[in-house]
Amino acid sequence: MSSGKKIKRSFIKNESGVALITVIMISVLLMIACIAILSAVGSHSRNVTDVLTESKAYYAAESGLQATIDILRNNQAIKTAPPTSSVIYMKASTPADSNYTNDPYNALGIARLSKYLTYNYPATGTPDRVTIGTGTYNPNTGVAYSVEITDPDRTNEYLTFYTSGVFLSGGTISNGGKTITNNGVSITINDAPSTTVNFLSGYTNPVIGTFNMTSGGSLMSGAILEFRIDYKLTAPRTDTRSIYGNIKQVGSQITVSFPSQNLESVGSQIELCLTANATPPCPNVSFDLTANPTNRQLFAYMTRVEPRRLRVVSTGYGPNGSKKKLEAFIQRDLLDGIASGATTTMIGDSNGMRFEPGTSNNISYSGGQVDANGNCISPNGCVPSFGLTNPTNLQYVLTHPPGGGSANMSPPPALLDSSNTPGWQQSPGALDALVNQLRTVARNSPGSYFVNPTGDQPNFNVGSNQNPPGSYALGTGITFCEGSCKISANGGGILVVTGKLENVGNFHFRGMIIVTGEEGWERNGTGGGQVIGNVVIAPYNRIPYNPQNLTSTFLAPQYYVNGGGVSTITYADVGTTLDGTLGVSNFMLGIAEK
Amino acid sequence: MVELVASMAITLIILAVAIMTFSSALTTRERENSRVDALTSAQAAINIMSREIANSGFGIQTNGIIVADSSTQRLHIRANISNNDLTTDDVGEDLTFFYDPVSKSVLRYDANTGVTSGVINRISHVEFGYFDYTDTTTNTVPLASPSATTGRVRIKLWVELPDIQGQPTGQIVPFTSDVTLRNSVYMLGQY
Repeated sequence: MSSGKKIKRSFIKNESGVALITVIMISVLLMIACIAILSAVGSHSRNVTDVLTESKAYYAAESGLQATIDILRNNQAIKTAPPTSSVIYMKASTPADSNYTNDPYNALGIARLSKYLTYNYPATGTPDRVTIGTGTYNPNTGVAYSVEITDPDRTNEYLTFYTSGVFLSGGTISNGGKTITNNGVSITINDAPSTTVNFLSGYTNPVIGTFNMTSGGSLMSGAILEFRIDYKLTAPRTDTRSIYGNIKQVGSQITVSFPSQNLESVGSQIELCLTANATPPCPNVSFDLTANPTNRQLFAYMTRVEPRRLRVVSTGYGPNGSKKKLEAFIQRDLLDGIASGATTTMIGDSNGMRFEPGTSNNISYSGGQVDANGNCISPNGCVPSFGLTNPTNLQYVLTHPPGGGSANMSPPPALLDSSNTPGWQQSPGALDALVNQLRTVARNSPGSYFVNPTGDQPNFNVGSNQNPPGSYALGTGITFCEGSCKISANGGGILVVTGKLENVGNFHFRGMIIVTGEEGWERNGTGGGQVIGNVVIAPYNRIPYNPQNLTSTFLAPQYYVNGGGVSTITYADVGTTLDGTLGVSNFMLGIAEK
Repeated sequence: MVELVASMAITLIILAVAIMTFSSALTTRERENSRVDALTSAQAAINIMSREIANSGFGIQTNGIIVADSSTQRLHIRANISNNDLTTDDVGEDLTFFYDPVSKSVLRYDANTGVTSGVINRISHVEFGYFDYTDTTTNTVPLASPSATTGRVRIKLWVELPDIQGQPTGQIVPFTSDVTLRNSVYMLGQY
């Protein structure tokens, strides 16, 4: 018995550690549960963090695109940097012009806008990121971006062109316009074949035309043989510019001369030169055909063209090494910088054409500055004061100058045809496509889209001094009149009228005016009104005006002035005009995540 | 002794309750894991589709949707992702997403490679809807057909969850995601 009691006591004695064991077991179980929960929470947190960092990187890349567009649209430094204000895309995509001086990226051929964007990370060495936000940037927590800009059309490498010359007046014209005969003297213009100028390797000034005088003698006294050489750019962009010239008898010499020595074609500066190796400024080109009657070559110095679009690759850097890349294409403007061939372009046939340029002696129409001899002295060349697509209309305009006489239409009006008008002016369909784009932009721009209630209701006033049709000072803005409208307040940018445009008072406008209504443009009481830019009168909207009442061919253009005062229409580069107008310039063509 | 028996009985009862609760928690966890798996794979599928749909229209003149070949059941898009030519004949530039009822999958067909690949399986239904930004009315219900002015695409996936013992069968989880077409006229106009 004593033995049994001893065992029982021993068992009871051993029971005293049960609580500890139980607590330890429960603690272990709780610890396992806690570890499992913490592990799950940690995993979820990491997943959420990944999504967040990726999102931050994505929006940082968006910031890079927005910063690039902002510079192209609004940065005055890039606009005023040499060579000219009109080649912003050229400057943005050329490393030496896009980056700061001595940027190591210049040697790599990478344009990244470091002259205009503040790359500030890392602080030592070559910064390769633009940081976003305030405070010290930490790559594990902060966000940043970098951009690379390229010209997808490689305009910096080459251009290809050919020319087509024709005689316009002054003798008997034959051989498809390429030969003229006057008083027994026969002169032929030979075109330049398709020629490629390679800017990456040394090049000489290409030949843009050749003159041959096949018969001797003299020209009839006082005869002026007018000709035109169309410069046709075919790559990397397309454009046509006309070089006007004339041939006269000067003493014993038969002299070929050119009123305008310079022209500009989508950003490319072209200057006539006498030799293949001449560099600007070339002496004014004028030569005697009697001295070299055979194969007298005309050369031109050329620079690269302005890109019409840019490819921007923006890399966004988020926390924890996350990275996103967006690629975007940005277009320069709706017209691709292709301007009209004349200050005022009047498109359409002659049946019903109306042209009354004003009876005042002080009213004038100018396609650029000319000197006392009628030679163009504008740096980018001159265009005809009026361009007409119908020969009968041209003749009418030439014989019905404003009150001050023909001298107030300088350079003189000229015939435009499909070879020297931009594509958007070549048919009602093409122009309507552009008008539709402008309509869309205007409808999305508050205070810019006006609808005449009945289409042609008279005295439908658009704009006011308090709410002008664009900015005259800046030459920006867009105003769209659906139907006829009357405008008296000064304005700027783009003005589209699909009915009759009527002005009252001293109407000043800086930009481009497009009138597509069959009643054209009536300027009333013009006083001192000045229009600086381009005017296109191309009627294809019929009365009653509505967007569906269109014709398939252009109607007769109408332009008439009551009064006159000292009003003018003066040419200005449309590309520059469009630059500052949102919606029609520097807009996104496409964007993709790469 | 009585105390020990009583305490053991109580412990057994508590253990039974705990085991039942734990078992229930395990099946719930399994169900939730399954749901999370579905969510993860649906998210991955939607990410793949969203990225490619959002790029639709890049480098071409439209929003990229092939209207005649797109509906609530399929979406045919084009983009000029390799923007060094004027065609959409490179890999990934001509895609169709559609539902295959046999494999219960959403498939991705690349017309330029001829390859059809699965984006996600265990799908009971797919629906594409289309929003038009030019519509001036408040458009809360997507249209059944796309158009040249479609600016946003809604993707709805119904994912089937595998049956779990102790849980209701035939569980389906719907997922909805809207994808804005970056290259629609409206969106490009916002830059």
